[in-house]
Amino acid sequence: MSVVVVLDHVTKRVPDGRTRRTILSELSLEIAAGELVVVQGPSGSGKSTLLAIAGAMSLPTSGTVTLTGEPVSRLRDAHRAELRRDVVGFVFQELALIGSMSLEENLLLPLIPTGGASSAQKKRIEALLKRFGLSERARDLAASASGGERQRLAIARALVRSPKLLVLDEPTAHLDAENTANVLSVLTELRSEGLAILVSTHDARVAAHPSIDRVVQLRTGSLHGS
Amino acid sequence: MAAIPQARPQTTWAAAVLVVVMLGAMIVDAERRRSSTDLSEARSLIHATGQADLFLSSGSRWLRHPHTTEPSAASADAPDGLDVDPAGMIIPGYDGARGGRWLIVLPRSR
Amino acid sequence: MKRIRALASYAVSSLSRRRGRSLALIASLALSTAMSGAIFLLSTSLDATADTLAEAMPALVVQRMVAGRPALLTHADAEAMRDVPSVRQVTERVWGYLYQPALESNVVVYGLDQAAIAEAMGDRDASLADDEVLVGSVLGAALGLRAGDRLALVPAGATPSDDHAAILVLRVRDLLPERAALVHGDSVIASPPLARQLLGLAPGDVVDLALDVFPPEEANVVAARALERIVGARVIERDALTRRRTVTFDARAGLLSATLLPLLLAMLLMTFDRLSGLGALERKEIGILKAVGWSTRDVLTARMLESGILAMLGAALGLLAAYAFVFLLGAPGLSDAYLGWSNLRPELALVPTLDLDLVLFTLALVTLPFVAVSVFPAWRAASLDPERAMRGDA
Repeated sequence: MSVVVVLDHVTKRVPDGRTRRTILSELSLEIAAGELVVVQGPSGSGKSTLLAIAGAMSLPTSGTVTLTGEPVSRLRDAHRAELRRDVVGFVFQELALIGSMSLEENLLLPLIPTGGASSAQKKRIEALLKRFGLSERARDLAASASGGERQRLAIARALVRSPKLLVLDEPTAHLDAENTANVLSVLTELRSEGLAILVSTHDARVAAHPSIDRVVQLRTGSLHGS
Repeated sequence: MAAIPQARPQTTWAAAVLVVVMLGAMIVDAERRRSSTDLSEARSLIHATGQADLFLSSGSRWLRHPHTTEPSAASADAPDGLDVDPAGMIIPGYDGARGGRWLIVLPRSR
Repeated sequence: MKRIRALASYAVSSLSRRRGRSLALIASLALSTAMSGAIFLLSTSLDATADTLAEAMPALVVQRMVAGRPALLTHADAEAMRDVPSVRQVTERVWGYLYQPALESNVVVYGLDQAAIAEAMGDRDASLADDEVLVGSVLGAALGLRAGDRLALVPAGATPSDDHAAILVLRVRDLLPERAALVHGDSVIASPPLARQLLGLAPGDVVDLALDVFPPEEANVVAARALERIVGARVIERDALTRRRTVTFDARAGLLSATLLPLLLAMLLMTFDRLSGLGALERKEIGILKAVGWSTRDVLTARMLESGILAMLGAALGLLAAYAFVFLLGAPGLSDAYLGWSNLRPELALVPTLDLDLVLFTLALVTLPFVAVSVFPAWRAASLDPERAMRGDA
């Protein structure tokens, strides 16, 4: 299996008043295509920061991050954004949907900087809407969608550009059991389609799911693998 | 299955198109007014009387003709000046040197 | 190009989602464009109309000055100019201002010979009897006159209350064309004897000489001859009068425009403030855009396109409003301030100078500074860290 993302001795420190606080410390992680990895840890342990670095949204203070063989930290902002766009699909904890836009407009967002949706991409979007049961509500505002619908929409948007790596930050945090099961079922399908998937959660049900390949614990800025 | 719709909002685009159309109509109207304005009668009258300074206001009466009913009018002294104030405000008062014919009385007797 | 179109589409969508703010910015832009545009359209229109009319004026007018004040000429002065090379015609003009107590205003009296009357009336056989006059359209409207009516004028030197017999009752032959109102709205055209009687001029008195010069380039030379041949001569060039009018009304337009400066400055400041102050939702939205793969450049371009679209819409609406105000409504209020107060006031039928070039120029003039003002706020917005922006920390 080819490795999609490599974090090598990654450290992240952030300003904290006059000092700097260490969030991640000498952390290393690899995820291959078709692998579903869960990062577990208590609130404030740095899971979101880890995911942001793995997804090339944020740069580490030290250490290297490589995405599909490209060293992320050496790229300029514009190229990093391009890489992020083409390789990573990110599902944020807050879902990061624009409520005043419709469902399909939210799906189109990642495509705008490259000139909008081509006919192939339009077909893909239609297919995603159908796959996630959102076709009927495509023109409705995202703010009017239910929690489950919004979560599915966020995942669909992350898949618009056929990424190699899917990063999900607490995808089941606000979902009931049924919707949680739906999300896990989707992730299982995507894993079998060859996507590398990194999920952060503090939900034990998610960590215990049979399709999870690996669960790593994040404590005091370091990873403790399983 | 829902087809991907046109980008919203149509209202704003429609408003923009309407504005462009109205601009076009304005340009056409201006051209129509220009071409339908016939000043030939007025020009004949002006040629007959020799007068074309504007009848506009008693406040600018001294524009009517450089010799005016207001002895201290600016035009009487320096109609060619750049500054409306004959004594000069920002620019010094004009002495008639630039192209004009506002010479003070020539000392020539008959 | 596809990228710009897609970003522009997003920009329009973004503007319509923030309808209140967008409408407020468009309205303020439209208002400031309308106000300064109205002054500009009015002044350029007046200039263009007046320039066209001025072309029919004589190239030179010769007066006499005595003790620095205008004095009268004689027939001999006219004769002295007739043999000057390049002088095609010398007209001994009889004209002047006549104050009418009833109007509290001056009328301008012209004495024209038969040929000039024919030219003025556009009829080769036209002439005026010694008790007939042609009256300017504005004067006629003020007095409710029509062709065939009687008009009483107080000649120079007469006091109506003392000597009723001095009042001249004249027949209005016709009104002068309305299109000439800008120049002859307050005119009274009479035969030379009647004009002299009204103005108190003796037979043989000449007010000034109108010289028709050909070729026009010889005007300087002819002027020099006039200064040599006529004692106390003052020569008035047509161009000098035109320049004077331009300077005066440009100054007035400038003064009016200057009163708008505080408004324009306030609008720019408000725009800067509005665009700088990103609300929480806006910051979050930018964070989302960057999170889904938009670069700083993409966000900056979209924000600048938003500003450009707002500015173009505002400028276009302002220009339309200015045009309607000046040419459809006659610029009420503004024309009074621009043209000045007077008892007799012409209905201006001004000709618009607006064309496609001017429209594009105006749009650019408003759009460019507005977009420039929005660069810094747009750049600040585009540079937000996506993660922090979404969390609300930025």
